[in-house]
Amino acid sequence: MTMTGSLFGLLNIAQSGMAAQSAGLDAAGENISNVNTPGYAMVTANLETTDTADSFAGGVVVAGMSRSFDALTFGSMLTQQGLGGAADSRSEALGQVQSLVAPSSGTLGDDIDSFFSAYQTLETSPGDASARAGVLQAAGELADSVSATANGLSSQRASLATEAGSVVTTLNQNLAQIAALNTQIAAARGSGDAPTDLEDQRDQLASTVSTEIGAQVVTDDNGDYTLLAGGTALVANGTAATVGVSLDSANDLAFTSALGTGLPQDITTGVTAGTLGGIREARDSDITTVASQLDQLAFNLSTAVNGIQSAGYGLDGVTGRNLFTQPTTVAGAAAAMAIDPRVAGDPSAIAASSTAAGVPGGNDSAIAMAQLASQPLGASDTPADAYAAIGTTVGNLSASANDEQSLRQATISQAQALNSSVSGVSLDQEMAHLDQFQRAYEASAQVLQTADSMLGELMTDMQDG
Amino acid sequence: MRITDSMMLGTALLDESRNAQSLATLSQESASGNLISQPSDDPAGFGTLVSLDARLTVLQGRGVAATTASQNLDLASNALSSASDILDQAKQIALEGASGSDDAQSRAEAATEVNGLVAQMISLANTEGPSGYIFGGTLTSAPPFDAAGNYSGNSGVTRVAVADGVLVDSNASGADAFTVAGGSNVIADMQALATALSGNDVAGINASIGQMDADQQQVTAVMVQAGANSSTLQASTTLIASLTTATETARSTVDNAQTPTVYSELAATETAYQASLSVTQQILSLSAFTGG
Repeated sequence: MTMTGSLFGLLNIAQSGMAAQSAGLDAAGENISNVNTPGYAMVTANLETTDTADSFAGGVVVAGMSRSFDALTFGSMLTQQGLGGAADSRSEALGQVQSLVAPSSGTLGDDIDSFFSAYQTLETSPGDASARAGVLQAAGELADSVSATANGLSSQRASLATEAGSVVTTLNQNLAQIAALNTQIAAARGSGDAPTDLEDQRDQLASTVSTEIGAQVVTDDNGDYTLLAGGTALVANGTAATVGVSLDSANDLAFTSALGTGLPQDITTGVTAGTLGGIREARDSDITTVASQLDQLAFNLSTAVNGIQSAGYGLDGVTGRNLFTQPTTVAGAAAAMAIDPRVAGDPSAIAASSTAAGVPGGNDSAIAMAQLASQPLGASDTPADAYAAIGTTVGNLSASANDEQSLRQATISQAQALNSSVSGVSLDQEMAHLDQFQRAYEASAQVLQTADSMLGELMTDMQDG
Repeated sequence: MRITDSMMLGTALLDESRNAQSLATLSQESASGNLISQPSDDPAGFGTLVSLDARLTVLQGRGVAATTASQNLDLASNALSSASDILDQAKQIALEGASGSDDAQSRAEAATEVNGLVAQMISLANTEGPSGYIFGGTLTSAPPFDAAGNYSGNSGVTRVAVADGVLVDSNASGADAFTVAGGSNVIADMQALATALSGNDVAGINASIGQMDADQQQVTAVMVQAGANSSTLQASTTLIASLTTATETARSTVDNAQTPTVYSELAATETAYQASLSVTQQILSLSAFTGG
């Protein structure tokens, strides 16, 4: 290599250094700008020495920009987000169940107590019109309360089905976007670009999908991308599945998935995570458990009360009338609970005496009715204990859902921290990078200046010589 | 491990959120004085509260029923006491009428006096309480005795529950006190005395003297039973009151927030919350960037 060639080489080396340090500064700038961007993965300028065969041997070249991404920590974050989504939606739904079953005042338990208390009043004044009106009013309020609670639970199930439909709509949009991004990423890679921004968007969408249904992502060395959820593939490269939700014959949620033009397949049992998993568990397991207990209470209470009332005699000497409409089955007993039409609006139809001869002062039926408050209905619970059992069930479900939610907040935070440890931006680190690349850029500029100065002197010497 | 800005902030915000949640819970407890405002606060405790509340309502109802029944029996007891006095007066009149010093005129006047006592007796036997005529058995809506002294009530017994499976009679039997169901017809016996007096029938008058004694014993026996039942009911109200107190104590043990404990926990949580806020602020201010 001649001296002139070496000086020109130095100029090129200096220029490559300035370009490379600029790329480093660009990467630091991009990282700093996106420090708060959800889903953003830190980028690094990949600098390499130039090939020795190159005329600029000893220089530096920017071999591209790479994302800091770790599939393991990202996958762990997706798992936790799926579980967190389920915990959030279940906890919220059960909070509403709790406010239905055990409002801060005027609970079903209070109505049960008032009902039997009214019979205790009737016990001392069986012929008194106001005591009878009190019984009828308390019975009406109890029936309304039981029925309103049952209807409230049904309404909540309907609302959760609607909410599941909305989530599925958004989910399908997100799946379609991920498939579209896959196509764009493949095209960009094919043309030699590094589509880090598209990959960021895709990971952010995968994160959202995981919160919605609980997802995992698999990518292989060829760049093939599969998003798995509900026990099946919802995205395969550029093809997205269409998820459907409907109600089955048992009025439970049923989920289907059809990948591309494929036939829909049932994925219901696989939907256990994400918002949809939480909605499904709250709607089709938790709420139905509570509703069944309420039905059993309504059935047992109506049957026991009607047994005494129908065997007794009203002030009018008539017997054989139920107080509540007698349910034929346990299922639906709570929603249908109402005052029997033959008694509604007629306090004299309340039976306080077990014999016709005992009317109007006989109170043995009223005593028997009041004593139901302390006697087991059906299996083993008194009416108040049966309500207490419902409250305890709701409390346990809600408390465990809240605990799960707190746990998931912590595990999501931990998983995000681990993922952020790999992909996140550290402003302090970027500050150091800024300094580092700025100094290197200045040094390369100095090299350029030196080479330029040397070339200038060489030219002057040659002209003088 | 590489530490990033979002990691530090995320951890600080999670801690801050937890402290805020604890603060909200403790504030609610200290404001309401209750540990359980919804079932999820303590599911088993909520169930216990519902059962105890039901127990309290039953006890309260039994207390009221026992008091009302006791008052009813006291009313009956007073009426029967007055009936006994009337029979005593009738007996005195009979004794005077049976003496040889009385003539037909004075016996006729005595008969008028006895007829007045019969009217008083019928009025007492038709005493009305808050829940109807107290001597009609279960036929409480109409006067059990007509003006002639005929009884239209029955022997029905009413009771009140004072404990699980424990019933105490809450009415005094008019049939046993005044009619042949109890031994003899008191009003008819008094009417017979009046008839004997007005008919100047000394033998009849003498027969009535013993009958008035027997009638008085009959009325007194029912009065004593009513008094005994009233005493039982009063004793029950005392027992019910102490059971109520014990149940309320059990309830407060489950539900009442211990003020000093809640206050100290609240203070500690407030401190932790303030500290977590400061940490967040400090994290946000810590940076190699000078900010200009």
